[in-house]
Amino acid sequence: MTSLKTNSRQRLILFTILLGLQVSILYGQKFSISGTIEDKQSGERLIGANIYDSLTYRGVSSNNFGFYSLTLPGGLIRLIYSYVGYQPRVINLDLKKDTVINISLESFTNISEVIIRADAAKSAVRSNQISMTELSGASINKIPVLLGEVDVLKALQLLPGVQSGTEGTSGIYVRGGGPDQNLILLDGVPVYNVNHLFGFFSVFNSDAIQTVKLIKGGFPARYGGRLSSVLDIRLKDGNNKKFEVDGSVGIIASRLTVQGPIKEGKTSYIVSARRTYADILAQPLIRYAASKSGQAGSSGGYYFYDLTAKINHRFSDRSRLYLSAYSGKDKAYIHIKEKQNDYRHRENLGLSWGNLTTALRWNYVFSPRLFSNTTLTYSKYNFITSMDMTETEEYTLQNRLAFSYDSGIRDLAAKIDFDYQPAPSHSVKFGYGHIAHQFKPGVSVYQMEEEGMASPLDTTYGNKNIHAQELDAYVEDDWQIGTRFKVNGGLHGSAFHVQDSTYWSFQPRLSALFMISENWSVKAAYSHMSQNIHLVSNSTIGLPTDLWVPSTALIKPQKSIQYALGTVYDFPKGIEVSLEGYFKSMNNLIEYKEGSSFFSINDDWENKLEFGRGISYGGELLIRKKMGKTTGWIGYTLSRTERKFENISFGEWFPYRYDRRHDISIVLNHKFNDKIDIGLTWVYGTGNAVTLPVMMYTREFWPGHSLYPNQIMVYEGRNSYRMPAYHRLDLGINLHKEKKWGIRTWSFGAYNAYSRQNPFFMTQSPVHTQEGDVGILFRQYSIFPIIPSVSYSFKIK
Amino acid sequence: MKSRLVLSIMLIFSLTACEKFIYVHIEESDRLLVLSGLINPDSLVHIHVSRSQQLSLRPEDSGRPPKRDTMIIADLLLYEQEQLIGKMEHIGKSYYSLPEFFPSEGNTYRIEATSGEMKPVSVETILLPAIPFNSFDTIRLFHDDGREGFSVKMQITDPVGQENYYAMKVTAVQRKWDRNLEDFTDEQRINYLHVSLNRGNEAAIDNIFLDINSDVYLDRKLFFRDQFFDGKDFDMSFEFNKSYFYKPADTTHFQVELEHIDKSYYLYAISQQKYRNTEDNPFTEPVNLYSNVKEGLGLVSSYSSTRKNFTVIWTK
Repeated sequence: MTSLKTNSRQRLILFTILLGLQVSILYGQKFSISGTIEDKQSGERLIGANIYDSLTYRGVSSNNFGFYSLTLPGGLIRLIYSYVGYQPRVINLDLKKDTVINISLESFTNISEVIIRADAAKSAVRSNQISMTELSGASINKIPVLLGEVDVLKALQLLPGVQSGTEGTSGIYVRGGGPDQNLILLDGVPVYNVNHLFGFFSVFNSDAIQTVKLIKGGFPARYGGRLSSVLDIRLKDGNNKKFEVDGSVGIIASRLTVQGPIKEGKTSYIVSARRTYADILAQPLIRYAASKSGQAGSSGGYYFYDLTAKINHRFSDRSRLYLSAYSGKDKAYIHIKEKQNDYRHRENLGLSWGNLTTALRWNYVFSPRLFSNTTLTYSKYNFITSMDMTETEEYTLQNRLAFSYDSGIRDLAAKIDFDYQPAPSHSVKFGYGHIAHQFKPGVSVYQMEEEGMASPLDTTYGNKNIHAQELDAYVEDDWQIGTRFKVNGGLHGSAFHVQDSTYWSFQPRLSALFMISENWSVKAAYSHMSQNIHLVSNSTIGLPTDLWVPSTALIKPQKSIQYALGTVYDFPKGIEVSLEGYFKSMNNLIEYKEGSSFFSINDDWENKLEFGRGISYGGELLIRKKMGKTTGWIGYTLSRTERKFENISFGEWFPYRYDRRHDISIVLNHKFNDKIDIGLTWVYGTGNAVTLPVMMYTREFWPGHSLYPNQIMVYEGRNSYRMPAYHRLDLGINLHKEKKWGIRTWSFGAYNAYSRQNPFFMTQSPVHTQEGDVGILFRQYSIFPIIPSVSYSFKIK
Repeated sequence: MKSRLVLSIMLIFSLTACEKFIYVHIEESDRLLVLSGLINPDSLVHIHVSRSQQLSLRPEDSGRPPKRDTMIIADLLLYEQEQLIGKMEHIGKSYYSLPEFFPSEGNTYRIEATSGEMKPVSVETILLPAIPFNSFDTIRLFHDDGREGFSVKMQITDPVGQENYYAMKVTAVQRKWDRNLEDFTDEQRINYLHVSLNRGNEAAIDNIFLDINSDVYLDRKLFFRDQFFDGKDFDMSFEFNKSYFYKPADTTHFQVELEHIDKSYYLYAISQQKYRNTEDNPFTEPVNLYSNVKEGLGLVSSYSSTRKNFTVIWTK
């Protein structure tokens, strides 16, 4: 009897174990949920949308192509799909197999009653990506700007950790880095010169932009090649549901964007163009002035344009092809014609620069857990200046003189990237890329021909083209450890081969997140970066004369190590507060030697450079409200940036030109109703560091024999003087009206609303007296007082 | 047409009418003694003494020029080979000299100067011996295009075991052309020729001190150093064409002067070139002029000269 009881108990235990095993096998199985997330109205893929299981606390973000893959244990799940500015969607599911869920989210602007859900704004708290900010094209468009020209880079200047350069220009200086230390990607293709109109406007047309992501530290291993930041700008794919036309007419330029489906749901396109028209408007004046001065037929002008085009085709849910291109150019020109009897004088002066980028991209989903993106890109930047003067008499050539200078960079690249979700707690990215660079560090051509000359002079001199091969490979894993801890670890390796030298670099990256609570997280990051190409520049406004050069046998790659520590807290109503500190050290930085400049650069350019190091450290506070009728942010940066070069400023540490102790930005937008919204921006920054003389003296070696100049200035140290602090208020109002054909918007703005006389640059001039030059008067030039703007934009539905 | 004109004017106005001048005051620095002088064995030692000046003017002082106040009274002591030679005398216009004292080649000279409450300063220079020409030849040239000229070829031996620095000056003297008379007068006119030496490609580039790939000139002299011919015989030459002169006289007298200079003079010449390159150039950072005066400013350096004269009688 006892044995029978014992057997029954044993069977019961065995049965229970077997049942438990069965259940655990069922629920221990892992399945993948994958798919795409897109805008319901336009079909645009949403980049960086959040997919989060509120039961297992696991989540991912959609990648740059709107694709996501989340591996979870089988059983009940509660998926929340959210994206800032969109109505979140919740899907409850009993997960029993690999599942594809393609989701459409609806923008708040299309929903009559705005429902604020905190989930949508929690991406920063949950993401282990530190030092990253995302802006949408729509939010950039709301910021009041100079002359009404919406500018992506000027919007980024308003974020903590990002300094602007000279007033009005669009250069960005991130955490003490130079302008060449920003990896600026337009749909994944590097753009080398981002300036129009000598830096006053950037080359990016906001109408074609979907998202802008700026990473200042804690760089994931998939990015490499620059020290200070990654600016990932993604273009819209084009509305694949309906045809749409957007445009605007402004003081400086006009823009037009056309997009729509070629085959609904399968193929769509977008074409966006912008051009200035000062040259066209000013022609009558120029021609009138020319005819008055005896130079009838002479002309001149300046313009820039951008053209962005993209087409994509969906072969299936697993396969999609994109082709995108960008072309932009600035051109200044003067044509002079002079005529006197039989004498003819013709002179053509030109200055032009521009970028061309193209990318062919193929997305392929091998399995719900493995996504691939293969890219072929071509990118080119060129700067050309030329002069051609001809004199003839009685139809016979008397004299011809021509000069041209040409510099630039050209890249041909191929790369393949994979997103792989091997287990619920791991999200792996890996890839490989190869770039063939061609640098043209400046070639000058002189041509001279005179009457009676046996053979015309035709001389080409300058630097030979330099070819370099750059290989990159990376692997990174986003590892969820428990429900509170998340680590992203990776390695980026690169090899740069140039002039029989190869530079190898292994750059470890690590970032970690700890969730203190549902709304509060702490983050830390370490990143090692290497940069093989350099910008030789001594202008402060991003002139096209800035020269891209590679590392060579003499010029070593720039290196940096950055540590960052921060915390993010989500308050109710979509208010997010983040506080970060960072320390960055940089090596092998380059500068022109004292006394050298672009104008003295020639075939010996490597010897014109100095090599040194730099440090930057500081703290950044960002209070941001992403949702509701009032949105915007308050940013504050406290930082210090210094440089040290052996032969500059006596080898002492000196402040970097854009070292800025305090930097404050306030950006606010308020939507009163569907017809009126207003924008306000206020910025404050410590004055730029400049080098000014502290005394002067007279030199004289022999009585009655003086050398020019005999008044000599003495400079104490580089950048030892601070210009007055910079502050400015910009205001803007948008008036929207629904028309039969669509929506029109009148935008009125005021840049520098209280007309602060901010310093643009300083000059020094001697004071002349009867007794000679006895003093110097410093003058500070302010070039932007209050500048009103008006623009008209439309959207044809 | 009218609307385009109005729009053009509005655009130009908006882009150009926003320039504003503001006066900025820079704090005054401590004043420093400034010594200037070039010592050579052919003349008395002359040192110019001044002091640095306040630089900026207060906005309220603009239009009210301050008095020139660089003139000072100073005490200058001259040492030769560490031996005090004497106290230099003020000879006028801030120049100081020591009567009847001529420096000697090969000796080291030091000057110590004090003035009031300003920091005392000192400066030292070595008066290097003149370098003779091993050979000096002139060759008349007739170019294919009919131009007449000549070539000068010289050789020196660079002293072994030390860095050597040189400066060369070429002067041409001929009768002066009178534009009104349209004829030559008996008055002599001195032209300083801006020559460029043929020194071989490698010698033309000075990568250590000079980051400007061009010759260095100061006070009409060409400066160079023995980076590529250290301790060796060095051949140099230059060519000159008659067409240089606006109106060449029948006869021109030339003088080639080679100076063996102290290193500080060479560094000064280079810094002068950089200083000029960066002056008023918004694309460069400004640089300081080299100074070898300890605790002060200016340059006191030295040179010894070798001269060769020759006369050219032009064919036409």
